[in-house]
Amino acid sequence: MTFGGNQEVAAVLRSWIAALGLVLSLLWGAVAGLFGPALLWGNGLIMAATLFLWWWYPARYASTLRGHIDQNALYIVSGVWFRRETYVPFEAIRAFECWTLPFERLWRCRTVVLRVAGGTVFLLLLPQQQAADLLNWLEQTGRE
Amino acid sequence: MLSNLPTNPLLASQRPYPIFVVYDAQKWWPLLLVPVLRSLLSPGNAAEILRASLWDLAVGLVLIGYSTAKWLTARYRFDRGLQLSQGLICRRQLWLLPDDAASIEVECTPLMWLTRGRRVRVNTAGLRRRSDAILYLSAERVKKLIPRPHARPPIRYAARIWPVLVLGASGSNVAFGLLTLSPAISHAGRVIGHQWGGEAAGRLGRLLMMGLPPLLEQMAGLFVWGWLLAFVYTTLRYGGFHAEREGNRLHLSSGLLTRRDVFINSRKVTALELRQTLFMKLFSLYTVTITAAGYGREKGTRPVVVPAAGKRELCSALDQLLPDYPVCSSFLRPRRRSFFRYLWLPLAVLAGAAVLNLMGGFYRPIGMVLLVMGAWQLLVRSIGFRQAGFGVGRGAVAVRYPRGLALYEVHIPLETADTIVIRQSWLQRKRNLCTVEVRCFYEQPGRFRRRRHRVYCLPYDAALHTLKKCREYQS
Repeated sequence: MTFGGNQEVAAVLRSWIAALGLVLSLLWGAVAGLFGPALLWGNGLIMAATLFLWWWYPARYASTLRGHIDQNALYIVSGVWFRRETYVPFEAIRAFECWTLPFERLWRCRTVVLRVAGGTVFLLLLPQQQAADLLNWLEQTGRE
Repeated sequence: MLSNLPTNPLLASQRPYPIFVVYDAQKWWPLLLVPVLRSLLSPGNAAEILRASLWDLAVGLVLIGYSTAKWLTARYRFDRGLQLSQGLICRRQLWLLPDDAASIEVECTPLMWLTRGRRVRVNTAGLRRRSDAILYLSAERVKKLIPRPHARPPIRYAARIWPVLVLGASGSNVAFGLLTLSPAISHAGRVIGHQWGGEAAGRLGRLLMMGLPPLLEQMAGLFVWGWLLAFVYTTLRYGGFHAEREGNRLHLSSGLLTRRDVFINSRKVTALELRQTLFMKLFSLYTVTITAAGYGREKGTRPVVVPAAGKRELCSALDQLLPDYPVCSSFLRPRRRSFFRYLWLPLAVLAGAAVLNLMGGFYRPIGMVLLVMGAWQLLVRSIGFRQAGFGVGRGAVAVRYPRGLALYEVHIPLETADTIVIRQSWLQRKRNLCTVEVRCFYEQPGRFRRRRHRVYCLPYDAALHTLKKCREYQS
């Protein structure tokens, strides 16, 4: 079984970046309202940064996200600025979860959370079908 | 632990007990203060306050509606493990694999007792801040889910009342309690009358206040109330404590108002800790706590197995409850000449306190507080030096040492003691001494960490030999 990002993963990230940019812009607008309109140029910077991230980051993230399951472990590579390679032996998994936030539901993505004795492993933004396959596989293997 | 549960088709995909709504909406309760604060901060006429309160009420109803919607969509299922699904905005589905549940905690608050509901927390052995799953079930369902083995009557240990009271008194902050007796006495003197209050209470009050100015008296009053509250809380929490052993399962039950039943697989106990404060030493009492994955993770919980008991009662209780648990009885002791190593910190505090007292004025009360703390720790460390030690034997590593204001004796099975470190400073190398540090996993409310148990000034060669013994055992 293999994993990889797709256009829907990028769409979720674009939605979050846009929402974050909007909120930051509103907050900065409120600050400018308090201390004077001269600060409104900050809004321009925020919007420019948001637009750049909106255009550049999601596709990169989706292209770096990949992984596979071998006989007894899960291997995932992700990250743009800091590449993270995660290796989780199946026997170490104590519990697993599936989280969905509104944007993820909209763009058919899921976040899978693996609880192991040493902490928690987040597999952020897996496409819905791949997440469902992974969860089924974990459940079946756990029962066996 | 969940694999012991029967797979019952009737239990497939159930909705939690309705009391879920109350506990889920609990986080919104502080919002009820908003109308009160508004009426206090911006007083207006009654009509305005009423209109504003109606809006607050509407917001409250919306939030309760949100919790109700969460309850309506929540589902759980036991099918060789647990599957739980809940949440509206952040939808969370959880799978807990069979045999991975290390401990199960069943809670019954007075409200739950009235409504016949129970809160069940399921914990795995992971490094987590909270329980893996929290379920709200009816009392009948909990009984079905956690059946009692009827093969043999359980072995039972019940704590007596007075040791629990002593635990409450020592667990609460005794130093502040003693410090703050004086305002209580002087106040009592004022209430009783001038004859007694003016003379005896005044002298005793001055003695106990150790020169504290009246401003600190108010603070001390706050502390004494805090101590009393902590005492009542601990007593209510551990009152009616009893522990049972049912096969491999350890069942701990405690609480006067909120009843808690904890089920632990006794094979998953990874450390046994005997704790003794100075106050408890006066009565020759010990508190025994365990480290078991998941147990003691929630705020305000201490994984207590025996709340407070004398040595004989303690041995008998541990023989009954944890008969297979390995305990080491031989210890390597620190060298007598290194007594000062144990005392330098309290002595430094005492020296600092003396300097502050000599400076007088504002510094004097701080100096007095430091003096009490230093003297207290000096006593604890002196006793701690006499008892300190490190040992390996009978399948366990054991350490005895003073830490903070208490004395500890910890027994860890060899297979769970993950690291033992022998350290030597430059001075220790010259004197052929060393510090032994045993590290192991430890559950603490709200966080997780590795605990380090350190014994200072042990003879290096003997410590190395003991460590080799440990390696031989492990191999």
